[in-house]
Amino acid sequence: MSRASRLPPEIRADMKRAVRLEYWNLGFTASIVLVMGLVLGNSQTMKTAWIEDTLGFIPPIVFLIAVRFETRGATRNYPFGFHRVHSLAFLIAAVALASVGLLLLWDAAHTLIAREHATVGTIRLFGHSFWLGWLMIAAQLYSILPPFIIGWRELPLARRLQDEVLFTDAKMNKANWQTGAAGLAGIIGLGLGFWWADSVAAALISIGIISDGWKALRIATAELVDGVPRALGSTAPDPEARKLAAKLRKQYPGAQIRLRETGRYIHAEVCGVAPDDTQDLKALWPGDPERCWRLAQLSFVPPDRG
Amino acid sequence: MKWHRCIVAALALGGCDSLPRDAEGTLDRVEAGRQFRVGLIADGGDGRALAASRAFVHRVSQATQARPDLRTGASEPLLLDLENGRLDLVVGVLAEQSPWTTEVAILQPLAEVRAPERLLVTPIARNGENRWIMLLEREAEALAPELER
Repeated sequence: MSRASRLPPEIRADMKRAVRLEYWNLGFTASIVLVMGLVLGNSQTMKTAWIEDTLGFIPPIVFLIAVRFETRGATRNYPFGFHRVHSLAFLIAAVALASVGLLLLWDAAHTLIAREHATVGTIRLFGHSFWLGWLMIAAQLYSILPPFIIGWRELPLARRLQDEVLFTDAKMNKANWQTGAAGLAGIIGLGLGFWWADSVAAALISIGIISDGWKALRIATAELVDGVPRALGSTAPDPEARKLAAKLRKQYPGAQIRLRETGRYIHAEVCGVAPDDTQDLKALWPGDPERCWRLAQLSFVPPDRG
Repeated sequence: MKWHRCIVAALALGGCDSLPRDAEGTLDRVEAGRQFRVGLIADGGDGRALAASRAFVHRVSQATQARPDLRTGASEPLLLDLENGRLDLVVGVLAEQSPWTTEVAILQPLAEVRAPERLLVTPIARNGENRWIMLLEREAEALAPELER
C-alpha cells in the first residue's frame, strides 16, 4: 500500500497540490531570507523582518513532516496511526505565528520607547554609492509578493483539506507580507526623516497577527485535549460536526454522543448503547458527500451493567 | 554590462536626491548655519590618527561650505554629546568592538592604528541623520586614496 493511498481518495489530488505549494513556499522563503540578509545593514526593522521571515520556515516544514507521518499506517507501538501528528504540527505552527506577532510588537514598542533612530547608510554598487534604503525597499517589495500569492492559494486548499496547519501557514504568509509592507513604509518613512513610522505601522499590524496566533493556539489546544471539533481557523464549533452530532443523537436516542478531532478527521463515540452489527460511515455523514472522509471512526461504549 | 547600467540608472532616478532626509535635520542646519560641531577624540591615537581625523574634518568643511566648530576631549563625553545632539560629528580612535555601536552610527574607518588590540580611526555620527551620514561616508571614501599614500 503506497503512502498517498492511505489518504482518503477525495483529498489526494488537493494534498498533492498542497505539498507542492509548500515546497515552493520553502524555496521562496529561503530566497527572501537570503535577499533580506544581504541588505540588512544596521536597521533593526529589517533585522526583525528577517527573523520573522526565518520563522516562516516553521509552518511549511511541520506541514510536510505531518503529512509524511499521516500517510504512515499504524504500527505495533502506535496502533492508532499518526493522525494526531497533524494536531501537534498545528500547535507548533500556532506557536510560531504567535511568536511573530509578539516579536513584532516587542520590537516596535522597544524602538518607540527608546526613541531609536535607525541609521541606514550607503552601499557601493557597480562603482557608484547609493543609499542602502533603496535596496532595502527593493528587498521588501520582493518579500511581499511570494507570501501574498502563496497564502492566497493556500486558503482554499486548507478549507478543502480541513487542514489547520496549512490554514495557519496561510496566516503566517499574511503576517509576512503585512510585515513586509510595514517594513516598506518604515524604510520610506525613515528616508523621509520619520524615525517612528515603521514602528507605528509594525505595532498596528502586530495586533492582528497576535490575535490570529492566539486563536490558532486556542484551537490547537482544544484539539489536543479532545475538545469538540472546531471550525477551520475558528474557536467556534465545527458546523459539520454539529450536524453529525445531531444526526447521531437522532439515530441513537438516549445515548451520549462525543466527538473529537484528530488532525483533519473526526472520531465519534456513542456511549450507553449496544454497538451496531455493521456500520456505514459514509451514509452517516450529514453534509457534503465529498467531505464524508472526515468521519474516520464511529465507536460504541455499551451501557455499564453495574 | 547593460543590466548594471539599468540598475544604476533606476537607483539614481529613484533617488532623485530626495531621500534620505535627516530625522533631526543636521545637514540642513549645517548648510544653513555654515557651521558644524565636531568632537576630536584626543586619547588612544598617534600623530597619523590625528592627521587623518583633521584631513577628514577639512574635507567635510569643504563639501558643506561650513566652518567646523572643533572641540577636543575624551571619547566618552564626546560620544554622549553626539548622542544627545550637542555635536554633529565625532572623529577619532575607537575600539573595533565598541559598546557604542548601537547608540551612535560608527562609519567606515579612515585608518587603522597598530596597538595590542585593533583600533580604528573613524567618523561617528548621530543615529538617524541619514543624509548627513551619506555625505560623511562619501567624503571618507574620497579621502581614502589620499590617506593610503
